[in-house]
Amino acid sequence: MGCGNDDGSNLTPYDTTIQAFLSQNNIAATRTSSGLYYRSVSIDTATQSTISNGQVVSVYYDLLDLEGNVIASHQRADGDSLQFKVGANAVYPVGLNEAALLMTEGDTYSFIIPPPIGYETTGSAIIADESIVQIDLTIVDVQQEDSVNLNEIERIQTYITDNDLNNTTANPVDPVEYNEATGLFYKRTLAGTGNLPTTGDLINMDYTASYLATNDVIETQSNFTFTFGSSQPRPVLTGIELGIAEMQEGETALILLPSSIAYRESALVIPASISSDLAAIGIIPDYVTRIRPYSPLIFALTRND
Amino acid sequence: MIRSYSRLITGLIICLFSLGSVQAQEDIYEKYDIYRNPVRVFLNKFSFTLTTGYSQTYYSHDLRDVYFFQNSEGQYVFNNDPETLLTAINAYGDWLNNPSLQLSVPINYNVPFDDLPFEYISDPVNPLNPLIYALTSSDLVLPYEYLQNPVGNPAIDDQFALLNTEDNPLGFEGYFGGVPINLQLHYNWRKFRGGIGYMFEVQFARSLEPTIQYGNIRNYQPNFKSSRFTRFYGMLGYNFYSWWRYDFVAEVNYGKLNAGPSFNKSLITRTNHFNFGVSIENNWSEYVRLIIRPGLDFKSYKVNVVDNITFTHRQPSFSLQVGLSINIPEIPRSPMKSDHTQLKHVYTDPRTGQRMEVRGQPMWKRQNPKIGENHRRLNQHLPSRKNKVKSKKRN
Repeated sequence: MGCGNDDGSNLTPYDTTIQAFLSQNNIAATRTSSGLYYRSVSIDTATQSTISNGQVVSVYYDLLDLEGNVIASHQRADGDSLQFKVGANAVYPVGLNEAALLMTEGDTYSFIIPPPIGYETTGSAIIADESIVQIDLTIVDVQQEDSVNLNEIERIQTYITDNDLNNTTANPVDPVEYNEATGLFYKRTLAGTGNLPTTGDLINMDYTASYLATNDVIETQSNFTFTFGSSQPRPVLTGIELGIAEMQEGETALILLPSSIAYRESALVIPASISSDLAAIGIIPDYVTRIRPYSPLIFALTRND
Repeated sequence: MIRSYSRLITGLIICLFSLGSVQAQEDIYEKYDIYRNPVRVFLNKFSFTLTTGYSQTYYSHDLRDVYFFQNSEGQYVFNNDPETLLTAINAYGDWLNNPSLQLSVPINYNVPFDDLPFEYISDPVNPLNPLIYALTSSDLVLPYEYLQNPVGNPAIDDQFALLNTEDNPLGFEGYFGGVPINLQLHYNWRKFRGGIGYMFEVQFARSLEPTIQYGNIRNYQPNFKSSRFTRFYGMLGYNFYSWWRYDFVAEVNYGKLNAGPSFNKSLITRTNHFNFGVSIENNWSEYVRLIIRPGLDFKSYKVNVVDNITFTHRQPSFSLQVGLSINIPEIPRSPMKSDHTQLKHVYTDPRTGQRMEVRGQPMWKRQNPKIGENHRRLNQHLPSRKNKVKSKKRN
């Protein structure tokens, strides 16, 4: 079998390899203008709505080389589906943005991704540079981002209830304050005595960051300094600024951040094991190596100054 | 009796001010047995000056022969001697005031550093550069702001820089504003003066800009918001020009700066500082003057970051200060309420019969005014007189 070339654009040496593979395995696939090859494996006829940029999709995948060897896989047996925001440069390989737009909820497609929209430079031993790969992708859910954010707020409220954070006897000193406009949940755990911060103040704080979902600690840091209300030396997380704005000197607090004031869509890296290598060569920000898309976070803050 | 006193006073005034030399005046005091408090006479030779204003201190330094490294969290320097990079990178931050070890990253070389291909070491974005690899893997992840369009965003690399300053000169420079408060005591001898002083200054830190732009190197951010400085100094001055009521005095100060707790004294060696200034003095009277003093400070200090890494920080400053200077009058005011004599004159204590010289003016007014110089009506344009004249007219 061969393949369809849907735009007649010039073929690259990668196309030669891919088309030889398709022909050899008697697979029919369609090529898009970017060089992505796709074919449907199963179509969910019940859902016909197309996916558009800005929506959040939940996926499972198998990643294989052209010889059919599985490089990585994440299926239902491995846990919850993985989310990424379509059209936001928030997925690696970037070809999956385009791939998602070709599908509808419930579909499984098989894609062949050439290096220019895939694994051109990874800095990793897991997937060599310039690798052509196959990804079998299943989209199990499609949501608007607002709906994802609302779901996070509900999860945070559940966390507060489960951990009895509004009980000031068991968990002093104040109940949790929720700012609906910003999304910040703020619980003062030890009252401070100093001033509230003003723009330009040099803030010195200790923090421990953890995931709301698992309580696993992500990072602990003492005497982290930044200038409040400015971008020096580099802008800190919106949620941190909002939390510190509530804190007097000497105060400790727990702030619960929905992803809308934390790392939002972050990015989905397939496979996750190459995240550190991609971060090392500057393809993804460092935080992506630890923060999954749409992860609510908890920061235990102490404002020292 | 009163007439005879007034004659004596008038006579003595004429005598006192017709004799030019100090020796002659001393003779007058001896001849007529006129008492003057010797402590006051001695203190009168000293001027007490208090000034304050605004200063701008220009901080600049060069990072010589080190690796400069910048990541999302901060900026660091470490030794560029390959011998020291065999097993680990020990990188130091806050080299302006309080250097400390902030990164210690092991390096795992597959081959000895010297045998690595040059491009691996010199290319600051080559992931095969072992320094880069070691440093990037140590980067803090949180709590910096999220990045829109994160995958492949060119802004990611903007945070990262590695330079060998041996090949790529780099330094930082910038201005700190400050408020100095200066207290000075000096002895006056003819047109010369010499004395001591104490200065207290609060400087407000700002970020320092890189002296050479390599694209993405951020400003150096001091780890303190403000710092205080003090110094004791000696001073010499010479009154090189006088015009009307103004004196222009060239002054030089010499002393040593002490920095506040933001600066780690155990790692800092300071040079002595010189200050050159011109004290422009508007003499309200013989005892009180308003001072405007522009001045330039030259000083520097060395910070020993770690063995073999020492940076010299230049710290010159310009200041403009305003203040008051006073001399303690060598004679008191006349104790007699009914004594309206305006010039310096002799007063005889009715109880003891002791003669003493007294003033007829407050210390901030010119003593011995000329005719009309201190006249109420002629001075009615002065703000201090306006209200009095108005109230008199109403009455």
